[in-house]
Amino acid sequence: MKRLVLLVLLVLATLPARAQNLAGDPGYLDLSRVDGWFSAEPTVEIDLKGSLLRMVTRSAQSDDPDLAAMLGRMRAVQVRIFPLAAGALASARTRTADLMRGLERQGWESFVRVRQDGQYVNMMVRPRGGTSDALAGLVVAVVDEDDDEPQAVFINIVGDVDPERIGEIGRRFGAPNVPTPPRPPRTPRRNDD
Amino acid sequence: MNAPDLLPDLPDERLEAWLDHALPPDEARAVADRVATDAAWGDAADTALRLRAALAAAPLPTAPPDFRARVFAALPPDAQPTSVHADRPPTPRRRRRVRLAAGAVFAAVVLAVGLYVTRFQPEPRYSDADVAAARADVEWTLAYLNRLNAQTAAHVSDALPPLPQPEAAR
Repeated sequence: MKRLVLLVLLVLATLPARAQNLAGDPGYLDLSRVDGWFSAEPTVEIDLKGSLLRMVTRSAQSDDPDLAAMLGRMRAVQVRIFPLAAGALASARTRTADLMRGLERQGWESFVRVRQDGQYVNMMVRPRGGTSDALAGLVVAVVDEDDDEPQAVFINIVGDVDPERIGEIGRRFGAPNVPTPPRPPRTPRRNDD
Repeated sequence: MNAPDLLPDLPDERLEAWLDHALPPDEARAVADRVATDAAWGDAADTALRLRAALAAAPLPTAPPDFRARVFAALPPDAQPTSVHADRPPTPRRRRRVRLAAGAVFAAVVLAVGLYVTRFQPEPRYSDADVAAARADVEWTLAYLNRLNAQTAAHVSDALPPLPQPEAAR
């Protein structure tokens, strides 16, 4: 009887984990860990996952099947953009480099690393592993020392995303002028997983 | 000389229940007092206890290995049991298997109900405006990544040394 009770408890304990296992996804990066680095609130905050992402995917199926197909392979899209004070640039670069090194130790692979003209760009992907070529996720970290509007950008896309395909589809939505104008602050919507 | 009576008549049915530890405490105390003070009850109890001890110590007879097969062979065809296990009381191993199977079924039901509750909950409703705003967020993110890709590609090509020109082109 004790073993039966233990079994039932074990089964029940796994259920919340199945329902909310985005945090356990190898392609997920908890962007709240960078919130404390900056004194200002993010100017852009996007947290898109769960049923809202599925509804966006469905909405794209009729008019943009390519976008819908790509979104169908995603589990979450997260973006944070923080304005940078002039004195915080070095600290932001150092902390971002530390974050990237930590991700590399966890199995993420850097495929773009640029340090030029006041831009510090890192792009990393995490292979899902095994015999599969699929990716678990993409992380982009940018410290942009633009004279007018220095900012730090963090993007995490969870899912099997192909960076080249992102470029192909992203091109359709216009290439924002450099630098991209920050979007107005947003209140993150509640997502269900 | 008569053979001794191995199964003595117990003076009261409560004595047998007392020997089986089946009496409530107050009755058990009363019978124990009676056994201690009444010679007939004391003798009967001693005899019964000795018999029980002797029976417990006696070796259990074992049937020859082919006993079971011979019994079944001697039965007429229409009296053969449908299963050789049908007439056997459940062994501890069989009981354990039955309990395990019941536990597995129970756990499967709990898992199915749990999965249904956690995975098939009705999705929260979002307005068309919410979905349109979320789609705009996605498209903006993809456009940003595309621009970043283009920028970094330009940086990489700028940073590379110029390729040596082929002889024919000079």
